[in-house]
Amino acid sequence: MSDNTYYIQGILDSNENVITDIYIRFFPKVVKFILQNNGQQVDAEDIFQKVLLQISARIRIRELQTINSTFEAYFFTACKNLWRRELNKKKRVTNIDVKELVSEELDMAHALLEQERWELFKEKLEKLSDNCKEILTLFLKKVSYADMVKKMSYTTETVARQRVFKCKAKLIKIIKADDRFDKLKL
Amino acid sequence: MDQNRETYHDEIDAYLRDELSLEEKALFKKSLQKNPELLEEFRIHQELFLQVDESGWTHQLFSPDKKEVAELETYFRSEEALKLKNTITKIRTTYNRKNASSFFSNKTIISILVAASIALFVVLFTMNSDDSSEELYAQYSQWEDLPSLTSRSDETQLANGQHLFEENKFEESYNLFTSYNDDNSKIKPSLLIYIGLSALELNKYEEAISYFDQLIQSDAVDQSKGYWYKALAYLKQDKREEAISVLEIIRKNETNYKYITSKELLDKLL
Repeated sequence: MSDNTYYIQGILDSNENVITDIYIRFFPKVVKFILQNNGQQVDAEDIFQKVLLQISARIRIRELQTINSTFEAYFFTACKNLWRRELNKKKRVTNIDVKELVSEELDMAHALLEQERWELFKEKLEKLSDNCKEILTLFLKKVSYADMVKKMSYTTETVARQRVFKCKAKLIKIIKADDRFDKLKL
Repeated sequence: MDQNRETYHDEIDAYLRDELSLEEKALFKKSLQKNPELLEEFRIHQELFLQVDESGWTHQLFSPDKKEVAELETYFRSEEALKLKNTITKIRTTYNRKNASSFFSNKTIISILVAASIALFVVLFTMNSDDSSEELYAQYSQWEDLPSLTSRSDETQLANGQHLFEENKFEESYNLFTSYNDDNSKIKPSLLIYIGLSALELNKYEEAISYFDQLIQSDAVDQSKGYWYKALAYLKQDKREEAISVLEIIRKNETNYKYITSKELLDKLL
C-alpha cells in the first residue's frame, strides 16, 4: 500500500493509529508555520483538524481520486491555504460592520471549494512550458519588465511583454476550457 | 470573444502590478463596475496573482454552485465527519499530554512562567543585585556585526526591514520579515538573524530560538552566531542554566562567534 493510500484510508476510517501517525509526523510543521504567521497553537490545532475533514469530504463527496504529490506536500499546502484564508477572513470581518453569521460547516464547505479552485489554477499553471511558467511567475510577483529582460535574457522589454501576454493568454484559455472552471462559477 | 477580452489584459495587468497612478486606478475601478466582461477577466487575473501572493485568498472571487455547497455542508454534519472529529480531538489530547514541548507553548502557562520568573527575579534582585539576567542581557544585547540586507538591489523589502530593525521598530521589522518569508522557501541565514532578533525583542522566545537553531544548522559562515543569540534568548528569559550550556558550546571552538566574550559572560553567570 502506498503512503498516500495508507493516510487516505486511515482518514476515511477514522483510524486512530493512522491519525496519530499523521499528528506526530505533520503537526509540528503546521504549528511552526502558523506560529510564524501570526497564529497560535490553538489555531494550528483548528487548521489541522479542518484539513483532515476537508480531505475526507473531498474523497467522499468530490471524487478526489488520488493525490498526485506526496501526502505530506498536499496536506501542508492545504493547511497553508486554509490559514491564509483565515487570516484574510479576519481582515475582512474587521472591515465590515455587520458580521455575517455563518455556521462552521458552511464555512468549511466554501473553504473546500476555494481550495479546489486554487488547485485548478495551480494545475493549469504547471501545464505550461517551463519558460512560460518562469516568466509568468516573475510577472505575477510584480517583477519589473526591465528585470525580467535581465533574468530571462530577452533582448528588449517589448519581447518580454509579448512573451508574458502570450503565456498568460494561453493559461487563461486552458483554465476557461476546463469543465471545473464553469462548474465553480456562478 | 476571447480575442476581444485579451485587449483588457494590459490595463488589468497594470492595475494588479501597481503600475497605475491614483487617478488611473480610480478610472479603472469605475470601468470595472460598468463592464461585466472586464470584471470577469479581472477576477481571473486576481486569482492568478493569488498563486504567488500569499497574503491574499480567493474569497468572493467566484461563486460556487449552491447545490455543491449544500452537499458539502451536509457531509460536514454527518456522522462520519463527527466520528473523525472526535477521533482527532481524542488524539490531540493524548498527543498534548505526551508532548512536553506543547506544554510550554501554551500561552497561559508561558504567562504564568514568565510571571513566576519575574517574581523570582525581583526577589533575587533585592537580595543580590550583582549580575541579574536582565542586566546582563541589556549589557550584551548590543546587536553588532549584523549582516547587510541592502546589497540585493531588487529586494527593497529586506532593506526596509533592516532599517526598521535598526530604528528599534521591532514589531514592524518582524511583520515585514515574516511576510517576506512566508513562501516557505528556505530562509537565507542573514535573514534568519534579523527575524530571530526581531522575535526576541518582541519576547517571542520559542520562535526566536527556532530561527537561531535553523541558523546553527545552516552551512553559513556565520552559523555560530546562532549560538550566541540563542544564549541571549535564554538569558533574557532568565533561563541561566540553558544559557550556560549554550555558551559552553561556543567555548568549544575558538573560531566561534563571541568566543572571548562568551567566557566573560559565562564567568558572570556561574
